Amino acid sequence: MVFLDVIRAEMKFVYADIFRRRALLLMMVLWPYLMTLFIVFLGSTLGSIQVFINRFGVNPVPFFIIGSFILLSTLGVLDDIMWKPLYDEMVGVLPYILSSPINRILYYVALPIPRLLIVFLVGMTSVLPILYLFYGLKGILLTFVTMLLASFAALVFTPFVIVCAMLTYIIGGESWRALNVIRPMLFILLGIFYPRWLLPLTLFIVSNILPAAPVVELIQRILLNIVASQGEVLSLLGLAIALGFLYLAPARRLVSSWERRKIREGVRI
Amino acid sequence: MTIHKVLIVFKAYVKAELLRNRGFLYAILSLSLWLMLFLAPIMLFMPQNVSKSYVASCIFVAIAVFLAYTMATWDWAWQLRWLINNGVFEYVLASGSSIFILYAGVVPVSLIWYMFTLVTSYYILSFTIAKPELYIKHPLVLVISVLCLFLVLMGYSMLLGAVAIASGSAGPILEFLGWIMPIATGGITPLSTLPREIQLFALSTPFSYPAELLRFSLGISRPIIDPSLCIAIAILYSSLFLLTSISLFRHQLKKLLKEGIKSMAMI
Repeated sequence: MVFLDVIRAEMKFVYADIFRRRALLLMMVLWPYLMTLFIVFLGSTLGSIQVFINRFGVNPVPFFIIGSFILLSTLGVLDDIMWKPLYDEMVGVLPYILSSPINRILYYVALPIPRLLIVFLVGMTSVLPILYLFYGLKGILLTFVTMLLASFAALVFTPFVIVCAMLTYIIGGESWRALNVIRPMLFILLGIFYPRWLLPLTLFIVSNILPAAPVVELIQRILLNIVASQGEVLSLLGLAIALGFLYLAPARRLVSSWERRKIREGVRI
Repeated sequence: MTIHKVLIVFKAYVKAELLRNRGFLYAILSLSLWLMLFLAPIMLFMPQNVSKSYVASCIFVAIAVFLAYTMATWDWAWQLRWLINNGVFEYVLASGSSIFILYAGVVPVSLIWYMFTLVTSYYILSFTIAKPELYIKHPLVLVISVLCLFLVLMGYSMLLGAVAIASGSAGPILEFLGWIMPIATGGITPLSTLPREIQLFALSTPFSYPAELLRFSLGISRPIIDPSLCIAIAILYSSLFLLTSISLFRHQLKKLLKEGIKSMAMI
């Protein structure tokens, strides 16, 4: 019940902000198109679309529109969790949140859900029309599978993001500059635009610690039609769930450690 | 006295943007990673027979132009919104100093940052694709193109700034323009590689000429119009664009002094 209350409160907060500023909503709808246009345009003028098709067997437009959508859904989780404590401190509500009795993991898991629902709508305006254009009715099915898996990736990613944010806060203080470095690094490791199985070996190994990475890989393999077997699907999903659960305990410990430090130091208001 | 004020602004921004909290280091790291995120997929389009150094050179110029647009949008135009949102703009106006003193102090900071980002981009490209082959084939054209690009970007930032303070338009709109403008005006790739309609649109704006000349001076591509004509148009058009933008900016400032500052969204 408390969990639903937090989601409802966050929904009111996020939706009031987004629907009040229609330019922001419009940009959310345009973002996947802009990123796809940017990459495909640059790639096709400097190289050739045919080379991409020969290499992967699919047109780059659906590939990058899906990549952009995954980026947006992951960004929803990253930004909501990583920036929220900074924002709360800035507007002066952090002392109230720290003194509230809510389970911290539930609180942080609830934070990105309202934005994820909006991102789901963004998928309907970007991934759906593009995949329908390229694959017809099969594209609709592919869209729902993609959006479902992208949302799943975002959710299993949550504990890891909490760990990342709290470690940054504890080690380097509440620095938005450090968070700005972590964000693109995670996107590269997830293989959103450049599949992670093509990354250099060291980066590929590092990417295995990210719970969302196997899901992103699965989405790309489904689109490229290179899923070997049902077993491969299940093992990638299983790996993502296992990694997600693995970070739950450290996430809880780090949140409480950071909060204790804030209480000791006092919160700037 | 004016130089003293410019120096104060310069020092304040160097401290706030580059030195405080290791801002410079974090910003360079962040930029490098964002560039890698968007540049790595470009390699998926590259045929085996195309020289990687040539591709790296093209991407390097594209980055240079894109970052220049970014600088004009977020460092210069957005500066006004930032001042308004932080409640500082009224004090700047009330001080009686020209707003251009602020620009004179901020622009060198942006240029320092810009030079470092270009060096970083160069090494990232060398590391991820190949070392960009940059030979200055026409030094005079290079100087003219850089100066014209600077004039155009100053004009662009004045125009955006004037629109922002007049309409209270939000950051997402600037973000949209920041992505679309370099693509649509031939900033990212040579005009010769674009469809005819985009070429015509790009040529109707002042942005395409300096970018075309920049690529020409580095031996990457030839402008689609005669280079001498391109130089003449670049100089005239960029100067005219800057003058028009400054007058519009001044007009908006006068209006703002009469009507007061419009309320703005945080981002």
